Amino acid sequence: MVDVVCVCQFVSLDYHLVCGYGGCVRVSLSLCITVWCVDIALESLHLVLLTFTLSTGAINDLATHPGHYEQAVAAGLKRGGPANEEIERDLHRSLPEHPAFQSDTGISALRRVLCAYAWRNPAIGYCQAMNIVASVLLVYCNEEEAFWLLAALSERLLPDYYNTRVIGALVDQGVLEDLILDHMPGLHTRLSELGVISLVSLSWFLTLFLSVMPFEAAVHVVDCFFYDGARVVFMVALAILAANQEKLEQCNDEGEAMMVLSEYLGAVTTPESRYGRRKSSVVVDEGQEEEVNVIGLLETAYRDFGFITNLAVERLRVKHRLRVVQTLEDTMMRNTLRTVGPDCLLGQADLKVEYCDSLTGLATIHNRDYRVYEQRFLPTMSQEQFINMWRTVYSFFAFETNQDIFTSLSRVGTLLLQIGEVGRKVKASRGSPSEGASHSANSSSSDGNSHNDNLGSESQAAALVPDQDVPLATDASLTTKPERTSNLKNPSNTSNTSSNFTSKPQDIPDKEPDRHTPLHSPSQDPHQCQEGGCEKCRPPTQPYPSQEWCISFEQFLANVANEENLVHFFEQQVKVAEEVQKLRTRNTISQSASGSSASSPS
Amino acid sequence: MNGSNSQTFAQSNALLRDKRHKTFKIIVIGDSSVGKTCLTFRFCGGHFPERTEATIGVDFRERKLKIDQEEIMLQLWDTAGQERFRRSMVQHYYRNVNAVVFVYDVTRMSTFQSLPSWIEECNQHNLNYNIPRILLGNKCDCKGEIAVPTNVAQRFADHHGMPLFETSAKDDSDCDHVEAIFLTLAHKLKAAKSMTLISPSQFPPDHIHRAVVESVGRERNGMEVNDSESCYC
Repeated sequence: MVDVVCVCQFVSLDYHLVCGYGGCVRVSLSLCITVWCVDIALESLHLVLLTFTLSTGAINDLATHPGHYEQAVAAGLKRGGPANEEIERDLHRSLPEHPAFQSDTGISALRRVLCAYAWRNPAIGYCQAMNIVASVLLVYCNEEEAFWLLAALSERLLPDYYNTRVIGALVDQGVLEDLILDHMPGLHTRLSELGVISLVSLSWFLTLFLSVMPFEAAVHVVDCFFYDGARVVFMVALAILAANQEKLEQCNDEGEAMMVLSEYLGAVTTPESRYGRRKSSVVVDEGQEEEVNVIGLLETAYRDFGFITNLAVERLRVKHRLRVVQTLEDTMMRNTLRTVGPDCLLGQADLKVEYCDSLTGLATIHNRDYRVYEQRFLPTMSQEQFINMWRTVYSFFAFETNQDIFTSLSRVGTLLLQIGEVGRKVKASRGSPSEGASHSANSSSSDGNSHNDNLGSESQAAALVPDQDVPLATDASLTTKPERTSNLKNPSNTSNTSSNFTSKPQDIPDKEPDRHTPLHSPSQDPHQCQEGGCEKCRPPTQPYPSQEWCISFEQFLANVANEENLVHFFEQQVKVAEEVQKLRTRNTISQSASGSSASSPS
Repeated sequence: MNGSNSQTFAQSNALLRDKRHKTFKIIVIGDSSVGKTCLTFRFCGGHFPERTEATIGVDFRERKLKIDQEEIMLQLWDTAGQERFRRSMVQHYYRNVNAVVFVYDVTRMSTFQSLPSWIEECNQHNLNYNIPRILLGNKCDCKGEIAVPTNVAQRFADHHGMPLFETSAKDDSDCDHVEAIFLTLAHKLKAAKSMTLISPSQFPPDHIHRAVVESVGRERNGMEVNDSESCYC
């Protein structure tokens, strides 16, 4: 091991010097992506550090952030909290067979790396599987390098893999299923009948095969992965499945299939293996299994599935990402309803909770890269949904005493309703471009207010620009809108709303707000409103507004972000975990209390 | 570890597998590091594993049993406990499940406190109430550190209509034997199975009773905390 480390450090030093030229070196190295070269590279030495320096950019991070690691360690260890507790419990469950992790030296190094990372990236904190990856990295490089590699892995190479909902791994599961369907359709049918892929692939992806193969063999895969990107994981996965195709097709249930695969993976070895196969604590019938050389596996992977490009993987990821997020949101909605339902303070606001939940969820879980993308593709919200959601938003503030918040809220609500209306008009005007626009202007001119012309021209302008610009166009008018609104016929609108809600914040019942607030009146009695002729301040007053009226997430976000009070409210540091814990504790207590009473016959 | 554990069983069992065996799929769930892997290992491998790795995703072990002159196969699905896996992954594991084992750690109250959410999780997957569920408190060999009193756990178990067992995968000399617990479960499964074979609409009466109690409990709970007109039954 010592010599490996020495050589690695030498390599790392060497490439430290050329890190500025990383690009060039990478290009020349990428010529080597052929079977024989990978073969040679792997036979000679683990290139973990070499490739780490080049492909992952970890060494750049290391060089440009001197002292960051020490700082992270100090802060991470001091911090405490649930992540550290989880880490502590897993320290002895990471590569437990390796002597390095049977003594305090290895354990405390692992603790430092994981705690430091949890501190560096609270969005991820600690995810099981990171312990296994980190422990293997520590076998091959020093703590600081392991730290930066872990950072590169979780932040760049395996996007969203370790976040709080392991979305990245789920996405890649879908990608793998697609690839199997494309290249091994027969097997795909069988595997999806058995439901095996979702069972096995998670550990494959999350630990890069480190937890399923003997680690000395798996590091070869990791090498290639660092070197050649995400496609390697898929190529290897496909090669594994292909190698077991016959056996898998004969399996009767998912258990059998799991065994076939783990049997095969457990027998993957490498010629220079020092520790042999991972000693399981069960009696191992040595020698019964045919050993599989990892180099051979990689060769097959490159030969048979080398046509899979990172670009193709990326495309498939985009495709599946939306589905995964959607599914998770749906599940979460159901969860929220079921779990929170009986003891929720919001009580009747079930549907709205769902919606808010998905919105806030989406806003928080997505990392920067995907954020823009997903917002654009989020489904728009209908008027009915919006109104429901907005009611729930009000109940967020049930115990709020700050009046300004309610003013802000009503302003945002009114604006969003107006935006939706403008959007509706734009769509209407698009059906017959010139007429539609003028029509909307005409119809609104019944108010005889100069403001109407504004809106008319707005929608005309918006009709000319592509979709994405609509929110911008309307946005521009937002800043001035509130004043206008209050100048209009219904100056009491905003104050009405706020006073209504502030006066009885605790018990926002289902029906009551509907009667009083302009926010809800449209859906309740659109006709009456129309007769009232207050179209502008109560925009969604068309007979069937919900069919066309819609707002996008961007619009929603932009408006909320525009209100300082709201932003402040949502950005306030609330110890959610504590609150939830309180609720839970109460739940448990009340459950066990009611448990005793419930057992009496009803 | 995942690989090699199951691999061993694969070697011993997969080849010998008799297709005529009734197979029962049991899912083992609970918080991280409550000892799910050790318990399943104890039962399937026959001893306490000294060094285990954190389970990623799901692991699988099985054991053949002979009950009333009939051989059955118990498949134990050992799941990852960390919350982020629960929320995203566990749904896949509930396919065709015949029984559920909830595990908590008697030395850590928090693992007991998260049982309601595990139960919720389970309910969500539309498992029938007639599927046997049991509650297992693990690590009861750590006598000085017990944080979940038996009576509290028992009340909880009663409320949810599950039998409670306190055991230790490591040293089960003076608590409920891991072996005995799973055998009990196997008997129950086998009995239930043969009943459903005779008439699918017939469930053991105690299960029906349990279902009633459980829904009453939830309703009550909802009323107490919420005191609104909504009811989530």
